[in-house]
Amino acid sequence: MPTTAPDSDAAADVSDASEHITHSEQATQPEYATSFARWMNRAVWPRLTDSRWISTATGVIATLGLLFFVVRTLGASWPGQFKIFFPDSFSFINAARLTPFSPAFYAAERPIAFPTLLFLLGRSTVVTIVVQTFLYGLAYLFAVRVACRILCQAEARLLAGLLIVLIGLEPRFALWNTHILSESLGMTLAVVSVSMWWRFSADPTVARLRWAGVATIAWLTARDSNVPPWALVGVPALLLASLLWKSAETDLRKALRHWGVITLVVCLGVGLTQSANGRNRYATLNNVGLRVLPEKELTNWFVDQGMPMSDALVERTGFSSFDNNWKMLNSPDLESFRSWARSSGQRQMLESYVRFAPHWVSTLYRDLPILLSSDQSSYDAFHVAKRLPAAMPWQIGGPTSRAGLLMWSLLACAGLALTARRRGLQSIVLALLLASTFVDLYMAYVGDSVEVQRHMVGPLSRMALIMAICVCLGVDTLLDDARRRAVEARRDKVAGE
Amino acid sequence: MSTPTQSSVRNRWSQLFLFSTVFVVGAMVVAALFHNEFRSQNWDPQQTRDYVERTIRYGGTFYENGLLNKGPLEPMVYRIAALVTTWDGFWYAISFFILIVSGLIAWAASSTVRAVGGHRLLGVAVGIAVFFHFALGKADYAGVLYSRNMVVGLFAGAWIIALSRRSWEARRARWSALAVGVLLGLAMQTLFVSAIAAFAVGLLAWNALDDIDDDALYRRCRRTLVVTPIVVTVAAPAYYLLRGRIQEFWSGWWTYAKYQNTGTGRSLANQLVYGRDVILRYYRSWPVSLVIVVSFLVCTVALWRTFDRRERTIHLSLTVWFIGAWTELVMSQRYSSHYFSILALPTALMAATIIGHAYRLLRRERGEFRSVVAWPLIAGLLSIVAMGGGHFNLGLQAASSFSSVHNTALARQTAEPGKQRTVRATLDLVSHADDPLLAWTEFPWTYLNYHRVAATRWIWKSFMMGQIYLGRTGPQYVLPKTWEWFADDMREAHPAAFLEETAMPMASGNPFADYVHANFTKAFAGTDYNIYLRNDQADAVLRGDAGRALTPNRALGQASNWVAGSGRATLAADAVPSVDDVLELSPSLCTRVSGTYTAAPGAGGSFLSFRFDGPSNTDETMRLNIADTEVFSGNDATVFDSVILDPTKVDTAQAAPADTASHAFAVVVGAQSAALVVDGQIRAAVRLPKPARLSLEMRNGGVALGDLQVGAPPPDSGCK
Repeated sequence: MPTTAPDSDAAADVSDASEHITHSEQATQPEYATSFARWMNRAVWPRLTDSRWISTATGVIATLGLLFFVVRTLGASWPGQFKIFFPDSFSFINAARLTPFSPAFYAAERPIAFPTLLFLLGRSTVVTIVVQTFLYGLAYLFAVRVACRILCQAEARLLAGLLIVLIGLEPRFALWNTHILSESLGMTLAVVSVSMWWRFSADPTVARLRWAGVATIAWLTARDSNVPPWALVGVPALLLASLLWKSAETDLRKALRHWGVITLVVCLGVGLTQSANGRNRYATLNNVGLRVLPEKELTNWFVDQGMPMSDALVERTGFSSFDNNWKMLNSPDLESFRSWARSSGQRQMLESYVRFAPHWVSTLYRDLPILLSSDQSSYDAFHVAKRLPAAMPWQIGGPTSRAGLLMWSLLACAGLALTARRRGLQSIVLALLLASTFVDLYMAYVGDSVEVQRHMVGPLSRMALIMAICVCLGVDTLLDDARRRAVEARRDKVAGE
Repeated sequence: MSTPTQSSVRNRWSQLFLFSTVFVVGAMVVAALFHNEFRSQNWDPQQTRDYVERTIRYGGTFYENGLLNKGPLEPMVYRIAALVTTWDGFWYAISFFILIVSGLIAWAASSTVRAVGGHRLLGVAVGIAVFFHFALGKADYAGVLYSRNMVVGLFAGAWIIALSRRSWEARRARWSALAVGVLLGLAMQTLFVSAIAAFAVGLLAWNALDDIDDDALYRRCRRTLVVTPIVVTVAAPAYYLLRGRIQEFWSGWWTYAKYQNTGTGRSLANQLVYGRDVILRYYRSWPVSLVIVVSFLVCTVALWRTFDRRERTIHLSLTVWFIGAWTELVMSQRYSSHYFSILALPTALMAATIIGHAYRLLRRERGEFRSVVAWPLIAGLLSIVAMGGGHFNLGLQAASSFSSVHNTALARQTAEPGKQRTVRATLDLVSHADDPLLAWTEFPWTYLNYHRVAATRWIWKSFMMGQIYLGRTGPQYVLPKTWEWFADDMREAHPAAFLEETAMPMASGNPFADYVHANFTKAFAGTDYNIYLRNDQADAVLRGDAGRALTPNRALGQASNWVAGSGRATLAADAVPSVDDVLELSPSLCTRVSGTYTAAPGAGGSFLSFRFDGPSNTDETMRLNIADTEVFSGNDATVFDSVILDPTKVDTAQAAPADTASHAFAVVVGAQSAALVVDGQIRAAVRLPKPARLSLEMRNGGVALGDLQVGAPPPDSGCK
């Protein structure tokens, strides 16, 4: 039978270590204030000092944030109005139709990550769109969680959380969730992979390395253009670290070597499947039409390498393979050219990215303002931009101009420099990741001259995320140092007295 | 005992399920809030809003502003919604209240599960399913806020308190008894026939009092529990008696309720037989409900001996409540689909009870369920799948597209039916938003669609004609003092316009018709509506102050084909139509341009278009057009509404004959709308969302304009 404790007993019950208002204070306060204080002591303060409760509450808030994002991104067209119309979307579905049980799946026209997701979700457009949107949001929340765990200062955590969320909410990135294309999954896996590497750098263990390696492999298999940055930066870094990082434990160095080799194998595998199905032939044809033929020096080099030159090909100057009713793909006069593009042309094109790098970099520099400032509205078939918060001012959600890119890069470098002394490994890993984003940007630009803005989405979102992390890490270090100095000064003062 | 690792893994799973459940339930709440804003705009809710808007406009009690046959709680809730929101945001507040009611019902179901031994998370799971049913379900009582929804919300609140053991601890028992009493009293005050259900819920609270040891407190609580509902029920008549408005209150709450009861013409035996038929039909349509009720009764009989006193009371209360709900339905004689909410709640609680017992029995046999952490999520997902996700999907769409209350209102305005636009535009020329409108109608939205309040408390003609809903018609069902109060209302409101639906012409030979004939002039005869303007307003709009002679400007100057002079302008019949070569009649709104026109038809006939161009090129151009003998309103892309100049002529679906007769016309432009008057009648009207300049564009043929004059707009057209 329920009984009631006298008021004094009730008061005694609530007087624990977390009690913020004392009895003497309560005695001088009016009754309602005392009741309120008692309620705060009983119901609020204990929770606010309970880390488990805070963790759950934060999780609930994050879940509601994710709900907001998913509803705003998808709700208006939910559930039956998502249509696919990009040729690439059909191509992904065709690849998924092969199923992972068939060897042909791995050498299909598309890298395997997104077709695998499609396969797992029964090739349903709606389900895939929901799941990839959900995963995209979840990945950004994961990045926030990682930032909150690694950064020491509350202000830096808040800044990191804010910047990461704002990048995720940028309509130019988020709109890709509504399409059956690999952009969304690519960005999601990029966020997870970057977060995992950062997590590893903060506390390098074999387990964390394993997670980072798995996430990276998933990211590598999402889009072909992800391979070069990793092959050029990630693989050498892992292998060199396994040799030169003497202070690391043997197991860790061994694991670094293993993951270097594994990811190298994955890179080679992706490259081999690319060659097997010749999926880069369209990019080669486009690049020749739009970028090589207009440049005499480039044209001569390609001709020297064996590109069959003809009047019909000269006529294609300034045109992609899709222009003029796919003339480049259909014209009988260009058969030998197409044959070249299917075979050695792709390799020669790849070579040209290295040989003529200064030229390509200068064209990239020229095109950067357009590429960075693009809001991708022509792809926003489901009007996502109207429903998400508008792009943030002052390029907070990532650089959108050349000056912005410069500023973000400088801030990121400054952050890394500040961090280098106290958190050297984080600084090195993030610097490598940052370097890889520039390779990524370059490869996305030169890789295909058609739909360049679309191809830049992944690299730009990844770049924005890494730069934001670098900046926040710098802020965290600054605040940490300042507070440490203040504590030391106080300690010295007390000692002096 | 589990190891720390196991415990940690379990904790992670719990968190995962918790967050997933929050996601699903959050989506339900969001969808319900945004979808019910639209869904709640049902018949009775709009009627109540009409009364509330009238009360806001004219003051006085709710019963002086409408015919209410229920207690004051319903209009009070709507009054609060109006208080905390804007005109456009009103239904969002109602939607929020629906969420509260649904949440209370869900909580009641959840508490019931736990009260009979169910796991806390099983209670949450049942609560989620019940919430979905009442907030987003397919049933007509879901997602609305009728008086019966409020009553079940009150009962749910009382049930929660009655079930909670903490509520009956010594220091809370007094307040709990008072709260239960107030809630039950409000329910009875709102619908007197819900007294049996109130008794059933009160029974549970009465049982809870038994836990109180202190005899004095026990007696005080018992007294409170009995007296409070009675006091609250009689508080309404007592209040109106003290206020001197008992006649109005009694007319609605008691006399009209009695009319509704006797107006069906059924004897008690006939009511019972009809009720039996409905009950059989209902359970044939909803077999799941039948299964729940039968299972509950079987469970009650089979397990009665094993129940403790509290459980017995729960079963007894639910049984009485269920019988009370059916009694209420049978006595009301009207089985409108939304009435069934009063039955749905006890049925849901019966289901909760069965689930709780089943869980307890199973746990006794096999121990605790490890999967219990997943049940709320499963319940949420199953609810969406099993109960139909149609409203849920619509809610998500609405939530996704929502940017602001104002923008939603603008989007709806853009999609307004054309004939509604004509009425609103005409009303805006003679009155303002929230001004009175007299209407001969049977619909509650007649006033709300035009942002007007009812000029009389008798918002529907049925009240004045003695037409009982789903019953008989006769003067014996016209409330005493009806015409006296009508006259009072007219003196108070002095409406500027009267709206008649063409499908429901005003009956003659009654004071309403007499008032209209004496005070109004027919100004617009449309296909759906006839608009009458008060005589002085009709003068101002149809005849108006001619003003001074107008010399129109030609937009193209010397390059124009127009020939213009003081009070005249002409365009040759063979002039090439041009959107740029227009005759500028007024650079701004708030004017009255009048004159005569004589069309000179070209090869394609004649087409005069009075254009209202906004300050920006992107603004929508509104038009009032005369195409031969047809006059219509619209914009560049759409025709809103049209009438024929001579409606006596039959539409033969052939091209209209060329009209070369001379017609008097006036374009009357207020601050928010414009109307085209031809031959002394409004023929078309259009709303003008933004400042605009008026010009005439000939889209076919030529025209001769004469006696062009510019004068003042009507006095109540919003112009200063």
